[in-house]
Amino acid sequence: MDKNTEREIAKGLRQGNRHAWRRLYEACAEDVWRNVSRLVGYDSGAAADIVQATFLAAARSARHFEPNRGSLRGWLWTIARRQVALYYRKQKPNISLQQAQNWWAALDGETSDWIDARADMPPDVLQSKELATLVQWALSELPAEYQSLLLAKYVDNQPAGHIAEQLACSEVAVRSKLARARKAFRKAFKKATAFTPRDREVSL
Amino acid sequence: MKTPNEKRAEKRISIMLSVVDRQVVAPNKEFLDKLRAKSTAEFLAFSTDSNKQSRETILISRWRMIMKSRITKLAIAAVVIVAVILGLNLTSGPDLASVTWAGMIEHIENAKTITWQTTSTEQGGTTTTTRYMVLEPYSMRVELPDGRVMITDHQQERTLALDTADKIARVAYARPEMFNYDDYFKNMSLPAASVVEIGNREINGRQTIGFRIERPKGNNGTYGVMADNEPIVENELIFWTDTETQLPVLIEETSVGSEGRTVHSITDEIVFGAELDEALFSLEPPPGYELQYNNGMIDRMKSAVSINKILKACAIYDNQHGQWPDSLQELDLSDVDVNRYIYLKPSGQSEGRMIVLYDVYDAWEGGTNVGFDNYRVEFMEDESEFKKLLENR
Repeated sequence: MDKNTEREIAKGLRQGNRHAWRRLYEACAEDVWRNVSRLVGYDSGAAADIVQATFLAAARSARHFEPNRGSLRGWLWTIARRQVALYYRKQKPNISLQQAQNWWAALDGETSDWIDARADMPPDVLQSKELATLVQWALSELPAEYQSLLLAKYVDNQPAGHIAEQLACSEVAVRSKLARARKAFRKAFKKATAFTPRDREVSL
Repeated sequence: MKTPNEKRAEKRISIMLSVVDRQVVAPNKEFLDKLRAKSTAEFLAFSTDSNKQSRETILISRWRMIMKSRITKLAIAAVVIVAVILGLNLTSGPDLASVTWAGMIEHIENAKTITWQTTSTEQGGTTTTTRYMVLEPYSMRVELPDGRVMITDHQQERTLALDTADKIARVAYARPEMFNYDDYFKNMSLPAASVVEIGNREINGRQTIGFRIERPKGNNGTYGVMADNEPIVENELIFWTDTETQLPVLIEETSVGSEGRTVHSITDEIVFGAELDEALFSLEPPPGYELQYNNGMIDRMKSAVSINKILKACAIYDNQHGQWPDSLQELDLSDVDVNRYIYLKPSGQSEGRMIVLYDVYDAWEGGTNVGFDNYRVEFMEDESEFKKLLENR
């Protein structure tokens, strides 16, 4: 969505124009679904619930969207991120996360070196569903902006210039934010793997 | 230029993140098609000023029914403050230039419980203190100055009002979005606001930074209304946030009404993530209380929700067919008894005051719920106005 299209849609949303809402929906619905699905895994029911809650909440507040405060995609993802966080909060107890934490704790190797790239991560670790669970949890803990940046850059492999256009900011700003987002992700992942199951029960 | 170590670290992050793509479930086209229609209807329903006013009117009216004394009405001001606290994160977006402000918003977003008290003082009048507890995602408890307690569970759509003096418990219907901080205020944009840093101040031995929230006036040129409907023409809202914990310590709000009345509110003792006994949020009346149901109000509120559902279904139908249905039987509404409503298919143009739906009634007992062609619902008390609108169709 280029800047002009975004401006037109934002103007239409303020005027209560249904075509503007539909253009926004068409441009973003599948992307939101995909990113939500990346964060909640195989649970397509959960993904559907979260995507629905996101778009209904956005529909209620779309009229007040302020384009000078960020992009439409960023605004939508902020809402989606909150719904994802709620989803994780309602998982009591999060069995798959506990299993993944146990799995990580039992791994034979310098796991912190793997995260910091001081040693290679074994292929079987990279292929495991437990790693995916831990990565999802760590991602879900990050602010919305960091989530969308990391997914766009490292999962969708979008160039920085394209991301900058989507987020209505400069490439330099994108690179700087990406550096902070990577740091935040490493921290969140270490936090996820530092928990013992008992710790996690208490925190939930 | 990145160092080799930085490049290696970035590559590792890239590899780790790519694992989430293995679990992606392809978008469900059928679901997304239905959601397109549903969200469009929701967008249209929330895109008219009159609808918004109607919702606010219902909200305040409902509080009036429950809180009749002037003292307790002041609690509404506090609710508005909290709406602002919880709504600002999406409305204005955190000002990322200010680490403290961004941190505060993050804490608020992630808190599982929030408790606070609000003391409101009317110039030359009374001072009252109300205590609030929110247990996410569904429960809220409000302890009013006169000793009454309101407990709302949004999952069950019920409010329990405890009259501690007379030991009477009343159960009322709570519309899902009302006072549901999680699903309503946090996702609902308030009028766009900006955040301005105003300097430091020490409060109870804690270093704080002040943020003034600058909100534009609404479409009607006011900041809303006071408890007795006096328009608010001036409003100042200031957050004082702990520089160390990045949590709000004190919130000050001053509102001036069009007739010069001034109400000053202080919100403090704000605690995030406190351990709260879930029994505090139980909808079971405590031992010794007489339980009374207000069936009339419950029916009325339920009916308003049903009309709202019908109108949304009509909006979806209109999207798909380019016109409203000939009868309600054409709608996909399994959970609403459409036979209890009179439906009048809209014809021609109107300015949102064309009645399309209303409750069947035998006698006019205080009013009836009415649905309009701009998808809003209103409880009309004036029978002659209702009949006039029907005649003018």
